[in-house]
Amino acid sequence: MGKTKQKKGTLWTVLTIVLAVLTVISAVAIPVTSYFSTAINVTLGAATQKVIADPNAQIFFWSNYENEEDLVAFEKQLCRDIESEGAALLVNRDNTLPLAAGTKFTPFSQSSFHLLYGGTGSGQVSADDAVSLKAALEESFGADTVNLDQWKFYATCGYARVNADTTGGNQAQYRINEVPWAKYPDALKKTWSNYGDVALVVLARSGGEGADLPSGLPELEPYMTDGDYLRLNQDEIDMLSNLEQLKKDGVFKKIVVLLNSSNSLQLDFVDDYGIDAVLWIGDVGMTGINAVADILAGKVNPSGRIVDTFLKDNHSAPAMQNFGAYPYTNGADYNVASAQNNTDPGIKQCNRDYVVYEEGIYVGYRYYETRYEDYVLNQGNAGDYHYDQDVAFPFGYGLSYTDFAYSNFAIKDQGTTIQVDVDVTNVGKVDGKHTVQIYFQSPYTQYDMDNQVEKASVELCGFDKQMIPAGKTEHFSITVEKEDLTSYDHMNAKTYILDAGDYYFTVGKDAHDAVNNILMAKGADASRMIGSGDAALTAKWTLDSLDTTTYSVSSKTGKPITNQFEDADLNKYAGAEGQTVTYLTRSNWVDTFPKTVSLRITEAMWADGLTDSEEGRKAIVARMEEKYYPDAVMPAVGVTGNLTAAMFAQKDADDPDWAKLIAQIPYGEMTNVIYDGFHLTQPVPSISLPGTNDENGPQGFTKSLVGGASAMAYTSEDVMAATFNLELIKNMGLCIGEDFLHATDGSGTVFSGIYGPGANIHRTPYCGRNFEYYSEDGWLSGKVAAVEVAAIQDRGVYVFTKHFALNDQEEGRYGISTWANEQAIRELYLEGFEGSVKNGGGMGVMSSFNRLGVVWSGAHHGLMTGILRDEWGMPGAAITDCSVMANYMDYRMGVLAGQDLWDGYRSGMATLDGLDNDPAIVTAVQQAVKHIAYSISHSHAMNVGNATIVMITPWWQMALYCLTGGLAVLTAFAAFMMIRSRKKAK
Amino acid sequence: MKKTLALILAIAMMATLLAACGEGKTVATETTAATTEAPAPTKSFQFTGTYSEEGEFASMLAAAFLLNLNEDGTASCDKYAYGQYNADPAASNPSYAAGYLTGKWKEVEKDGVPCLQIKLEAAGGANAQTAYAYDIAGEYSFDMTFPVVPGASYTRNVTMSGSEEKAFADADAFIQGNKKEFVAPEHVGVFADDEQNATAYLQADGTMLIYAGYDKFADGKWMIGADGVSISIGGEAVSVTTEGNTASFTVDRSLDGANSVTYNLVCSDVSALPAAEIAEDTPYTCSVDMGGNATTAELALQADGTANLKVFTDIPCTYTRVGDVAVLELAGELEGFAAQIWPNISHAYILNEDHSMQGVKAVYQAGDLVLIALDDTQMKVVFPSYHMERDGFTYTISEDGASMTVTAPGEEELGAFGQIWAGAGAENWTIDGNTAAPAAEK
Repeated sequence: MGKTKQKKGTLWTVLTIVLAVLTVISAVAIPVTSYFSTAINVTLGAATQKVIADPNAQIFFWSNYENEEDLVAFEKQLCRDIESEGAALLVNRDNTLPLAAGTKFTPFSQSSFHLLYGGTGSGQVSADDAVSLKAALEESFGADTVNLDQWKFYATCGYARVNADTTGGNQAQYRINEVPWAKYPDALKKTWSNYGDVALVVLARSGGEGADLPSGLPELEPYMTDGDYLRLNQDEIDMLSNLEQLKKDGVFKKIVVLLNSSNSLQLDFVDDYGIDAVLWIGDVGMTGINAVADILAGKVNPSGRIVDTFLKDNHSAPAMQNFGAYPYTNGADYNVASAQNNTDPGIKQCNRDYVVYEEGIYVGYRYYETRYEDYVLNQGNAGDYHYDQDVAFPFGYGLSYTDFAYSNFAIKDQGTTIQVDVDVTNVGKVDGKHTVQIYFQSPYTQYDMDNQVEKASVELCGFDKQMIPAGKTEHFSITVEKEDLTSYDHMNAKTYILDAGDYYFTVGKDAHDAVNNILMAKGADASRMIGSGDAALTAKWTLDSLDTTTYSVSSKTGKPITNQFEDADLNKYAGAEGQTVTYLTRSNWVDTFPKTVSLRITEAMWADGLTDSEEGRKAIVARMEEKYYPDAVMPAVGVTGNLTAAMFAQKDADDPDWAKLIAQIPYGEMTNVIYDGFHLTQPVPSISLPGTNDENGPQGFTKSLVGGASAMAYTSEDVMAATFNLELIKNMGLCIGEDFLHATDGSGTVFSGIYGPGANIHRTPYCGRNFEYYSEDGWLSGKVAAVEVAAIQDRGVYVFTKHFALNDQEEGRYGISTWANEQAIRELYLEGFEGSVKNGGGMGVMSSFNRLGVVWSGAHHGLMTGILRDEWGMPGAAITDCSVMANYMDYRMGVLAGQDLWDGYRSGMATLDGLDNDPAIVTAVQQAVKHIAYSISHSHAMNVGNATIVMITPWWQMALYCLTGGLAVLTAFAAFMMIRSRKKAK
Repeated sequence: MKKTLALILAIAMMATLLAACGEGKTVATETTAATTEAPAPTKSFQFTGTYSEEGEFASMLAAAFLLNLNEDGTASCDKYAYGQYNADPAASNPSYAAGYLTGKWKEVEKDGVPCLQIKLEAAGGANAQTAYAYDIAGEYSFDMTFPVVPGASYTRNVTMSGSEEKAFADADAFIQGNKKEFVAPEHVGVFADDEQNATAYLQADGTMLIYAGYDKFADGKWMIGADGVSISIGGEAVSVTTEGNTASFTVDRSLDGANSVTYNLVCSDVSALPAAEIAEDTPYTCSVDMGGNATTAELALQADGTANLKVFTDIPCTYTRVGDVAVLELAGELEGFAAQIWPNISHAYILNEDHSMQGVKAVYQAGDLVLIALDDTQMKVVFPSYHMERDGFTYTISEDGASMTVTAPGEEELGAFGQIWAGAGAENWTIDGNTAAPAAEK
């Protein structure tokens, strides 16, 4: 009996201990999980608000599709159409293409099986059910046209391209992994002649967030030529060499190459290996490969034009001399290796690296075509320049199955614009679409040389695309804005100028064709030219005197335009303490060609932005308050009122009533919405502003980053741009918006914001996210972005065009100091965003991880307010890139600069707390919340009308509270029983 | 380490336990796959795969996966975090997560090739993926994406391979088949922080490896000199406190910027430590940054005046010593990578006793002084006779490279070194190769 009691006592003791431990664990889990509650809510889709709908709500945005099936069907066809018009035919010897019906294919390269549909990272889309190359070929050419044995071999050979990881990816992960020639079994080789019409070679290279493509990584030398991912590796060379021999032996009749990449391969091989045709297809999205098969079959006449200069030597670009993350030489003195954290565990060097855009404006064709012109005209110390050794295919290049001829080229001055007219005749035998590209040349004057204004020999300034039936002529009339002819003079006028002199306009089949036309008009020595030009296709417009005033005010806001980025230019930033940079100039090519720049941190640089300490940041905040809010007075906060966000759904941003609405919001509600914006916005009950969900683009709606699925996956952005068809872009934007509308259901989850599109430029071919950006040309990027953004927003979805700004590489992106001069910043790197905001009406942008000079982009007042608001008039919210635990992306510095919303959560960084008596901060916080409220109130989130928003505890938190409470009760009970049984035992 | 681990585990636990009740909202577009479905499965398959990576959190990420494709068409993938070195039975093993990913599978013919279609997802429908496994010589394989934390963004890929044959009868057998035993690095002594489970392993050759738990997070050097034990971490000397035979030093480990851990590593009896056997031919090392890629430079010096500098690749050199600085010259013409690397690295290195080294711009023997140009502007001056040196000098070199101006720091910074500088130093120097002479002596 005594033993039984003892046993019982022991049992209760054990139970008490176990329950007590569990209670403690559960209790500890409450604050721990609260720390990450925003991320957990997003991950679990847990609601944090209850929306009591307004029965009289006005529905601002209806879907144009009765059911999802119709939408999906339309989107599949649309993706196919985009690829149809975006894929560019580069080589077509002896009219190899199109191929006859019934053509038999043997696919080559593991990538023919593992086709590249999109890149990796936050923009990764699901390709689980995407169309395969084999399925596409059989749809276009018929059954049994693809060598099944070869297909099975690739399915099972164990060789597959390795892309960088979706998150945490890095350069060293990339592998081409082509099948070594020796691995092809003899039995398989015997099947080739049965499918010998075409050896179809797919060369694919992936890109990804966080992982630029290796451009010479020694550790990858065993896998790639010179550690360069964009060159053919030995297995690919072997494959092509053997195919050439097999073609000579009669096994294959033709060799056709598909370039399946948004990062242009080094095309130094297309004239070798007996290659008959080359088609650039980019990343093809879910159904784009069907269009590729249609092009091969001649069902579609190719009309895409490349939006990057494709090179024979990728390293010849001036930008390649300073591409990557370069550590400050004296970083050790500042403990930069562990000084700051950011969102990627293990990478802490947020203030360690820099990159200098020493090439200025000479990126892509602006370099190659300009140096070419100067070589031909024997000026500018162009040296012994061999254009044809660098450039494989110029910007804008693309063949068709027919030919087009231009005539009647003329221009007409219409005041603020110039009208360009040209007739285009389809002189071939098949119908085809044709893109007319209008280029201009601005005079390079003594004023420019004196004031460091650089000029490209040609710049794209207009385009249009039309179907032209065989034998017919179509008239093109294109309007060029004179504003697009300006240059930014950052030294003297400190604003946009229009130089005095002769402006040449021309129509070119590509950028090189355009400069050749102008050279002929100038009477150049044809023997020094590569290719020929036609002076009749040029026209001259002359401006008598330098104009420094017309374009010195914003055409959107009327506010003056002046320098905003002197602190990002080493030659102007006083804190650089004599560290200067020589920018590439066309007045002296040879002597100013970039070299890798070496920089050290100065005390001023550390204090102005690189600082890792709270004291340092506090000092910056104090300086910002003094500079930007010198006369701030405490605004009214938390005022009782009955205004709701829905009442502002159609109000302009400058409506004075906004101040009354925002004044109703308590400080805590305001900081709550600013702090915790990780893929969502928090509800603001005081003005009935519902919380929303924001998701990634830009190839379409994708939740891959937060563990969810994708909607329609479109092609990479460069293919979109290469269509030169803004109607297609518009339809795609509308459909992406529709996908967000359709993802929103009655559960209270509102998908109303997209992290996209991407509008950085292809500064080099090696940027990991080139698939998310349109082109090397900022102006074209802006044109396309404007249309896409307007269309997405038409469906009630606000955009965050990203990554604003100068985030044109992935290496070192967390906090890297980006140094550039203001002309390049404005004329290249901001143009895509300018198109989105100014012309597309884009409500928002996503600021970037990097720094401009030493100042984080989101805390750069010139960028976030001077440009975005004052010059471009952006009305909505600017979100940060992912700010989780990245304390250099400081809330105080951000709001004072014009940053509104943080894509993260406050954990450990809630620096706005306790500042509710600081007039400058409160004013800035109200401004930020107004921008956020503007975006949401102009989205389909307002379909709830004047709803009542009730904040609720997410179900998982409630469950945790219950669990903790239950465990505590049980522990108490067990303890009671333990004591009781001990007493009894005594 | 503990904080991070706790956070991640907490999230993992929460997500795993609670996400089942969550809304697995997806927006998948229905698409047409060129697949032909076979009848419902009657077979079963078992796949396994192992993931590992190097780095500070390697033990948390290392995992073995056991995927069973069951006869009823369901699929279940267990995860065993073998890097935690716990081989307890699965039921009570916190390192074992049954059903980490679940889903269904079937045999299909995709584009004419028979394969297994495997659909997997984490709790709550997150991390959904469809994979196709193909028969490669009797074994199927596919790449599986797994979340580091279920439902969250960080994912990794692991190659899974398997067949109809069951390699493991159950989870316990899988644990036994994949368990690992932690093997501490070879060492001749340790400094340890028992409370926080951190250890610095002192190796016979003078290197030191510092572990937190099972993960190495820092490298260093150690040696016993006249003043006792000296320690350097990442090329930087650290302060060692000695009391009797007990010595200790602290090292910080930054977890995520917001959090860091300070370890207090103690050796209770330094008198028992043998002298580090730094072999004469042990290369000198330092970290160099090549366009954003950190790597180690190794310099091996031979008695005959030849040297080999290794930065990714071997660069044959000759060298001369100026004080503690080795000045390198190329032994011959370089090709390939070596030719690209050479212009981007230092050609002179300060050699430290612990065989670490530091790249510098140039060095000049200036009478009794050694002038070390650290970079384009900064200079260190050494007076070897007295083992004295001072930083804080600056210098400029004339355009023709024949003369140099050296500016000393203020008196306060110079301190006692001021007398040496006043006697042996000068503002203006003529330079010739690696020697410098006061201009007045010209």
